[in-house]
Amino acid sequence: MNSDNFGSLDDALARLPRALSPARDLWPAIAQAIDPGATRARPGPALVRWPRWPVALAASLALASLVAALSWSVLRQPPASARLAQDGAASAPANQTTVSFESPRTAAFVSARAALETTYKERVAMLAPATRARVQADLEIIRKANADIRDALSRDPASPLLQQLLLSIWQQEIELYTDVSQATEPMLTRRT
Amino acid sequence: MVGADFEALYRAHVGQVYGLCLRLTGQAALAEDCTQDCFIAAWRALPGFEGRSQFSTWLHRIAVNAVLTQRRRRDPLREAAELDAEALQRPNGAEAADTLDVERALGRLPPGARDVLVLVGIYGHSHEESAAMLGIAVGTSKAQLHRARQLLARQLGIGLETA
Repeated sequence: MNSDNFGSLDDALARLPRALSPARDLWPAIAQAIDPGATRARPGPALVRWPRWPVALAASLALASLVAALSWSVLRQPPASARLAQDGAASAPANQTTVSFESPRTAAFVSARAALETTYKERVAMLAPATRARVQADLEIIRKANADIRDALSRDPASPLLQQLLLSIWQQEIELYTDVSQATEPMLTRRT
Repeated sequence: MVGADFEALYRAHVGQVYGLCLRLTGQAALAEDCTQDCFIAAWRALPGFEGRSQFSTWLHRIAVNAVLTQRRRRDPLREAAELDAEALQRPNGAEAADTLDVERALGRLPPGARDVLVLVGIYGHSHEESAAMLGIAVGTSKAQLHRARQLLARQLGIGLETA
């Protein structure tokens, strides 16, 4: 281990990939365990009707699940959701409003999200070109997943799982905006 | 098909769940068992998912529970065993060796300290989430993280950033 390569323990941990691939496909055994034919006799998920989501939605979800981690790694900031949840309001302008993800359709959420988006648009240009490109690509993935989930919800509006996935996507968007705000805060401080 | 939709969720999240299980157990075969147990348990619990947390956080909680259950079955799961290096994906380039060093050092940490470092330091969970998943006090989670960071830094011969 060359200490110069890392600089700090946090850098070293940030470089570790969160997702690893098992050596074999685990799905067949899982599918067998949850096979409706084998579980029909008892109550539970086997009796639940699941929406027929399009392949595109699955792909969007898979990509979007990686986005927060990628942007977090690039920007080297702790997860914004934790900060929002714990702090309620932080010092950065983007965090001046408490955001509740349990009520994202409220006026307060809409207003807070708009403020975060405005800050993001103002500051994204301050990022290094490579970082900016990564963040913008991630935001596009989040927005695509958002659109796909909304499309699936239009066909299955009562699906609690889809509704929760939509909340998750909204949260990832907020996290990305907040991470950009946090990452650019020192640059603003230096200017003043 | 009931399973087809759940498979989409599995495909989206299996990487992180397996990564989490591998780092907590240190053994690829055991991590695979825990990952399977996690998704089977998630399938059964899915109707009760109320969305009070992110789906991934909810899934990680189930994964940690699967690991803890395996540990109770195999007591001790392993005694300061090396992380199963073969199971780790090695990135191409010069960073590969360093990354593997970190993973190996992680595997040499005491289980309690390693658990918290993996959940908080790598997967970004809060101490409150970490404590709830592991069944420990929030203060214990913080103390274990501090201990883990000290031990890991010492093993790797690198500095700690001051808060």
